[in-house]
Amino acid sequence: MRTHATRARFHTGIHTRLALTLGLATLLLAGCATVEPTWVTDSATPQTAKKLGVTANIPPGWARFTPDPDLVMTKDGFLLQTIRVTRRDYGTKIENTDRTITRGMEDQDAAQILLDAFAADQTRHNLQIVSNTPATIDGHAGFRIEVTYKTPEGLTIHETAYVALVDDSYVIARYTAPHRHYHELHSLDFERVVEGLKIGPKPSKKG
Amino acid sequence: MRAHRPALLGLILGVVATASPAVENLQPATQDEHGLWQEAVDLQNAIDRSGFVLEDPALETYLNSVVAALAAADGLAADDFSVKVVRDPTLNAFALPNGRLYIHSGLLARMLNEAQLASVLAHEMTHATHRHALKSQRSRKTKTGILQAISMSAPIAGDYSPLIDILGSYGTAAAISGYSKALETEADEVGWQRMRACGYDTAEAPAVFRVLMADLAEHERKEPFFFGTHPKLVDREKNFERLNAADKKRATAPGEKGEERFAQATARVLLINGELEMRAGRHDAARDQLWRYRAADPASVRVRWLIGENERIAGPQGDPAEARKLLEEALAMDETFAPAHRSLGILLYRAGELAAAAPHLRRFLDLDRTAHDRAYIEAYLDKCEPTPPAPDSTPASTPASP
Repeated sequence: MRTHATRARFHTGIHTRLALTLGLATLLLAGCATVEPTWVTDSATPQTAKKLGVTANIPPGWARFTPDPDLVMTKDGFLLQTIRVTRRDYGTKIENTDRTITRGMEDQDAAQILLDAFAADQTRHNLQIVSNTPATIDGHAGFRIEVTYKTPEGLTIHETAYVALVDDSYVIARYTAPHRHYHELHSLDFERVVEGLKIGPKPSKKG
Repeated sequence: MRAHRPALLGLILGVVATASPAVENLQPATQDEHGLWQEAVDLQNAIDRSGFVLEDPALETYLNSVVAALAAADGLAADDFSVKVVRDPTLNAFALPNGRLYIHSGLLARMLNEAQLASVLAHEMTHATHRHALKSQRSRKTKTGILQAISMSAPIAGDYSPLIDILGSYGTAAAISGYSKALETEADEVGWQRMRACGYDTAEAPAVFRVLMADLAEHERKEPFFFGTHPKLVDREKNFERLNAADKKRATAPGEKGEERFAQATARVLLINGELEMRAGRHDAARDQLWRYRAADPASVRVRWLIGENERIAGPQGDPAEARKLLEEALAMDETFAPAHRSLGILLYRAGELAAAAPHLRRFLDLDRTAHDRAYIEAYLDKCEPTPPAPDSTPASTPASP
């Protein structure tokens, strides 16, 4: 049986789902009126996700959705392009595989685990690996993977992900957009976000 | 296609008389059923286009022959049903209301004979012939709303069936996610009767559950809908044991298992699913299935590579010495098999045997010009074969040439 608590959400990259999720979150948050969902558009001020210990710059013309604990950004709407920066503990369950990324793992092995998990994901039809290379993110060893796949509705999605293998955890920066027109249009914005990432120590849960 | 002996055996034994009551015609009759069928066709198309359906005409022919025999033994039209295999190591099977059956490669790979296969297919056929999707839909008037909620909120909760994503809000979701206890029990009973009428050994039906319960206990698997919904696994096993106990004819005519026929027809599933298990990190299951495949096809280079690769990547559960032996064996059989060069090269590189690793890594890159992980391999090669100093990079103390 699968346990909810240990379920990683790394694979949930389909725009439709993201948009619906965020839409639902907006409604719920508006309803209880405790935390106002806001869009931060200040590209001059680095944005820090306190729960992640990660800081990124918002590309000009993009907006960060808060109070999402991840760094989530879009320019024209989540259906058209999304950047999400998140952080996972080593050993966290990854959807569609029993394998996990562990401390000290080789970058090539970690990349293969994620690619295999993508390939097993039945919401990603006809997955194609575009590239898979070692990468350095804010001085940390890691990798960059790029894939295309079709959604169950038939839309081709292009996804690029950088993963930094940090001492205490791993940080994932993903850019997802429809392959046609949108992915290429904003991929440079994503590369600049990754270049500007500042990864600090993982904040303790108490803090 | 070979004659289906179990069906003949069933007829000889006269057990057709014990089969289920005549079922309704497998055609939509009412407006809501027409709608359900259209949804089923849409879902079928989505699944068939997904890239997850195993393309193997010989295997499909075999599976369809089993279904045809089960149908014929109960007076049903064989061409009302067809079977496809989904490349998925989880344990599931499901039927759409229009008679299309799907069985996961993971389930097929754990079966040992045709009687076990027949028990699953006969159960699924009953969901179609007894209109369980329609009954389920009618009993849940807010079904679409519920399903939309599932497909939206499941990713938040982090627990859902990938196929429900393919499904969206289709009303056929119950076909995959399971029916009520009463409908599942009916499918067990009617399926058992069909299996018996067809001449199969019905003792194999509960055996499927025992194998799968052991597997579930070992792995923290996704809920296998075929087996895991209502009634629970143990109850389902008991359903079959009760039916077998009441069958007086079993003692004298136990029926056929069809082990050899099954093993021949489904061997390739072991290779394919074994690799899926390996990539999902279920190394024990991979080991079991791949070795079974090797027994069926001793000349296979690919299976040697997969067994070796499984041992290489299994971490503490793996056996690097065994991996090396099998990878070397694979290359002795076919020196041009690129994946074995890659696996052996990485194995040796990480064991610190850089001089031995280099030829394999280099050969891999020569053989697979489009390898997606080329950059990693090139980096390993750089460490195995440091670039010699360029001719002009002379020590600073050496006087420059005039």
